[in-house]
Amino acid sequence: MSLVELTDVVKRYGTHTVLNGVSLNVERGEIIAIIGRSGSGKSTLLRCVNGLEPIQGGTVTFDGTIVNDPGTDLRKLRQHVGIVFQSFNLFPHLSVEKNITLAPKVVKHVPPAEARQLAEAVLRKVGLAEKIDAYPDQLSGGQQQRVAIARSLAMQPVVMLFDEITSALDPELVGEVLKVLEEMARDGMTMMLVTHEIGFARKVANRVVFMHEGRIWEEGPAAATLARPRTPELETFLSAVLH
Amino acid sequence: MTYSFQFRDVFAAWEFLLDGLVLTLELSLVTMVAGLVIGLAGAAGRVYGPAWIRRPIAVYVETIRNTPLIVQLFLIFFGLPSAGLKFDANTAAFIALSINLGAYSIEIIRAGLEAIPRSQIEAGQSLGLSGLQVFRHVIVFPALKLMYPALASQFVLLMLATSVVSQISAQDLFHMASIIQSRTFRDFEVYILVAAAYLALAMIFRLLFAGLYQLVFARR
Amino acid sequence: MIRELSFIDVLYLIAATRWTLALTAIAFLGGGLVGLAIALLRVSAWAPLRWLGAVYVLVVQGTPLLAWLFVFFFGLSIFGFTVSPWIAAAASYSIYAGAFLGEIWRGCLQAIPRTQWEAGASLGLGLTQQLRYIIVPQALRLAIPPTVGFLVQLIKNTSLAAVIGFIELTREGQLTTATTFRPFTVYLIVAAIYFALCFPLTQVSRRLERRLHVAR
Repeated sequence: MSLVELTDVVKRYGTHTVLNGVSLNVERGEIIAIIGRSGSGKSTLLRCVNGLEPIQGGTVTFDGTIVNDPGTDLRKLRQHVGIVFQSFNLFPHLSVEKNITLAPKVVKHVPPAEARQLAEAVLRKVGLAEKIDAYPDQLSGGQQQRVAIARSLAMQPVVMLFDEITSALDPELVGEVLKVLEEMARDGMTMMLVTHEIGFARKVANRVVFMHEGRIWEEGPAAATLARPRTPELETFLSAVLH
Repeated sequence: MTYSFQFRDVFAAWEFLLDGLVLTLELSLVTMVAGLVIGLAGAAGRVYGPAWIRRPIAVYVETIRNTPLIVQLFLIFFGLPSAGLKFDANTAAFIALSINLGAYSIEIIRAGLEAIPRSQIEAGQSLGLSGLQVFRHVIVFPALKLMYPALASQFVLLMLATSVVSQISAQDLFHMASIIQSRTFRDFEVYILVAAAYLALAMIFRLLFAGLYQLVFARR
Repeated sequence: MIRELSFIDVLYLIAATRWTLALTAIAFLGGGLVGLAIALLRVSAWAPLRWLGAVYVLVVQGTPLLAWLFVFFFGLSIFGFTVSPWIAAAASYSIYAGAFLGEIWRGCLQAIPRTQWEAGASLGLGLTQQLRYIIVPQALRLAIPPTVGFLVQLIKNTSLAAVIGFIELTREGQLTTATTFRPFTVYLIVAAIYFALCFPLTQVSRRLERRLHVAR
């Protein structure tokens, strides 16, 4: 049994079909890069994994639990599935520490002193230990995104989802965020990342999934798939992104 | 036309005015608390509740916001006794004012809740927070901060509007003015003085609200 | 003398509504003129004029409308004027509405970006020409929804004129109550009539506001 299994997933907004029968298995420790044009359904795919998007067909399971079963306790599931968004989505009224410790405190009932240590530990991982008392609007985009990653890590997730987390950043800030991801990869974290950074995908991902028109158009080992696309669509996409 | 202003007789009755001032303050403060509570609960129900909760709240808000406070007051004080519900003037005043301010607060806070981006809610949910936890830790504070100025002006308007309770002979500041007027016949002086007292109150409330904002919402 | 509440009383109440509407119209006209002046004072280039406008708004928005009604109705009679409820109400409501309309319209004027004034100035338009041809036409569109919204406040607040004996809907309700002793029914009808006047305007204001948001 794979950690994450998507089987024939269908997602519609009204009459518009965003995901049209998507099947994908993710093993423990695997790093999957999902690429494709905007509107191809790659972000939606990611958001189905932690149940942010209800689906109209197929099944999504995480560690054996059916995500799209109305009886599933999504709160419990989401404690194990971290997600980082394109727009950071830090809570503007809370300090960095409070952003990170909110969920451990109210969901897992971690005592305050321990929570502070937890915040320090995850902040060290993303290289921002000194910003623990800052507020989101005092941080650069890259720093905010690293705090968002730390916030997710504090829940000690089994899998991390990254939804175009460098797309809203100025180019010079992309590197510091990707560096954090690389370290997490080295630590063996299971990751699914939607990204436009093809070079990064080639370097870090085990597998690349190319989404097109709501389907998985092409997938395979990262280096080989990106070097030798089998479909003209992926070829077109790659040449558009790389130039 | 010669008229000499004489505030002396009016000032001589300061104890009356003070009593009235106390009731005006009490009514205002208690109503503000009630208004905030109704506003928060009502707005949450209006935005996140199921249809059978949303619908009645919408009807309440629209009914109150589209009818005059004084008519609401008369309906409660003069009208309800015939339905077997009898209140003294102060209680009727408090009920009418709270129902009134509650409706306005719901509308204001609702706008604040709706202005919080979906992505904030999703971020909270993704961390495993329950709906109530997301509301309490992620949504309420920024929403109230956003709507604070509107809420504060509504509260000041409410304080001024408490003057209508004098019309059901609740002994507030304005009512005391009428009493003094009927004793001294210094109509002009009395009402100018009372207007000035309300103006002072309004400014004090604005200052307090500004201070409260600094205390609660501004950091650093 | 007590008599039964009958259909004719309802008709009287509806008939009295015309004085509510008349007072609203007067207040809106008077308040509109005052409000225009206040809005212009508040955006004036000369600071003392701005302060004058600000003090006016501060004072009027810091005192109860009821106090103005009493000052004009009871207070001025002391100087030997006999002030009719009409005059007292017209004056009070113009002062009151002026402050609120002035603030609403100032907000709309200031919502137009500075660059629009600058663009006008760069084309050689004078200050009044910039206002007339560039700022006001844009501000007007912004101003309509909140102005309609304030009209609802005004209609509701004309009910306070009842306390100085101005016969409008609420006063008529008091009189009907006095003769029929049916306060609950009477005030319910009175409230229903106010609702019938205000609710459509509230909806219009909301719809206009939404359209404005979509357009921008």
